[in-house]
Order: sequence, then C-alpha cells, then structure tokens
Amino acid sequence: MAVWNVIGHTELGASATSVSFTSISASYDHLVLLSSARSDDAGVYDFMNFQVNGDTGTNYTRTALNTNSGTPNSVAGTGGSYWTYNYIPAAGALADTFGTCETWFIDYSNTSNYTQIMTRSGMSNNSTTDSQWGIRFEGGLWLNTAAINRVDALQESGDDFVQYSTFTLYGINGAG
Amino acid sequence: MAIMEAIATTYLEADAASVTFDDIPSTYEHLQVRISARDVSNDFFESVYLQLGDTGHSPVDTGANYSRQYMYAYTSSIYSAAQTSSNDIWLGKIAAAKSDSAIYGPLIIDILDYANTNKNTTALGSNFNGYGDYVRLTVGLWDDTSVVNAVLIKGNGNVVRGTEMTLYGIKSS
Repeated sequence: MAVWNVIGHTELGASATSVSFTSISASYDHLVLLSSARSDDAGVYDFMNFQVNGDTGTNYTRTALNTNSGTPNSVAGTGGSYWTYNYIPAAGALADTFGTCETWFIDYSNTSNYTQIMTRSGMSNNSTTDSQWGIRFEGGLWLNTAAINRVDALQESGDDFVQYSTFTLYGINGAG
Repeated sequence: MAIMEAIATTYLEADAASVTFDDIPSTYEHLQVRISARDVSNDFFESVYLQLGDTGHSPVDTGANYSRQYMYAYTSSIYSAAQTSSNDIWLGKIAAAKSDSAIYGPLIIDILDYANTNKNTTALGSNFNGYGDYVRLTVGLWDDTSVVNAVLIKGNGNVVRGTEMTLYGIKSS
C-alpha cells in the first residue's frame, strides 16, 4: 500500500479566489497540502487561509511563530473563521515569485478528537525591507470532531490567487 | 506507482566540500532533500548552504542571484533577518568539530514546483543544529525561472564522513 497518494492537483490557468478539494476520502491517516501560490493584491504580500468542511463559523484556533521583519513574534488567537496566515507574495513582490506552504492535517478522519493542523510557510523576495517578506510556523485546531471531507484554500477578501499557483493535496497512509 | 520516490542518496565515506545531486529529472512536481550532516570547522556548529542549477549554470549558479529570509531560536532568544544578492541560500547550522562526534545536524528542504518555468524557484528549509541550542526556518529564492536540474548542499568547511543526504521526488499524478 502506497504511503503517499495524490488526492488532487490544481494549477490555476486563470486567477481564482479559492481552490477547493471536495469529497475527500476518510481512508487515509493524514492529509498534506503543498502549495506554491501568489496573490494579485496590490501590496507586496498577502495571506493564504484555509477552511474545512465549508465551516465559516468561529471554530478555528491558532498559535504561531511569525516574522516579516528583524523582530520575530509569537501570536495566538481563538474564535477565528479560518486557519493560518500563510505568507504569499502579491503584486508588489518580485515578478514570477511564489510562496511555499506545507500544511499537515493530522488524523483528519478521527472523530474522537478535534482536527489538528501544522503549517510552515515562507514568502521570499528580493528585499530586506520589513513587511516585504514573511515566514510563519503555525499550529491550530478545528473545534469539531467531524472527519474532514473538504479543504478550501482561500484568499483575503477581494483578492485572487494568480495564474500558475499550484495546490497538491496528498493522502498519507499508515501501516496496515 | 509510488508518489514519493528516492531519486538519490549520498553517504559520505570521506570529507567533502559539498554534495551535488545533478541530472535531476523534471518529471516530479516537487523535490525534498533530507539531510543529516556535520562540518569539519573548529566550532560547535557551522553554517550550511543551498545552490541550484539549470542547463545554463553547470552544475549550479554561484552568482549573486539568491535571496534568503529566516527566523531562528538560539539558546533562549529568537531572531530573524533577510539578505539579498547572495551567492547561495543560507539554510541554517549543522554540528561541527567541537560538538560531540556523534552529533549531526538535521535539515529538510522543500523545493516546490521546481520544473515550472513560470516561476522563480523557492526553497523552504527546516533545521536544527544537533548541538542543542539552534533551530531555524528559512525561505529562499533563486531569481531564475529555469527548470532546476541540480541541487548542491555545502558547509562552511567540508562536510564530514558519515554525512547522509537523500533527494526525493514527489509526483502530483
């Protein structure tokens, strides 16, 4: 039995405000989403967020190590309506540069506990100026014990992921 | 058909200035390098770097075409910084000669969409020095949209015998 399995892969042929993976099988142990994305926001950076199972309620918590300057910080929040603030480049960043994000959904189909995520993201740029690059390591909970059957990668309101942004969702098997 | 495949593993039988994976096929979606390494330099830990290559740079680009941003914890404090026009992507620290000889430093590098010619190549590195007081997350940029066909990892001094590096390819279909 293969350990890594491709559930879905999307490379955007045109701008899109979100990318969705639906009808996700519960047959894997974990999910991992590898994203290489960029925003059309007019600024230098933007964020990529996630929701699961179409839940837009205030059921997401998060804790993160974060930096976009010479002064890193730690942040935490509850009652969010989505997860994570993964840094991605926007229109003001170096052309043709996309952000890297790896997000694990651990034990996503275990209905005995809340779903946990861990995500690492980085947006490089040819700049040393504060707020023109960003790095984040974040953990979070979805305060619901349902199995995840849908993952949405979202842009901030009014913005789009640009063409060539890619998103690959993998199902990871355990033994047996 | 396996989705994640080992493209190559290098186990150093003798000290070496660097390890290069070249002739990387463009048939995968993503690359990942997993490293356990140690440096000969006369310190407790020493820096480790990444350079990338394509058909126009053999085996890798050594020009000032890289940017790198990072945050790290060293002892009880946390720091972050950025550099541009660099000759490599500085990914972190690995154990060196003053550390216990059994200590090596781990490093995982993710290089997404490495064969997409619409994108500059970026790398995300996660590192621990092994010595016990330094952990780091780095993002780096190679300002080049060519297909990556070579990955070079080097220390500040030589990397020592017993260092092991494996390059994996991850498919998307």
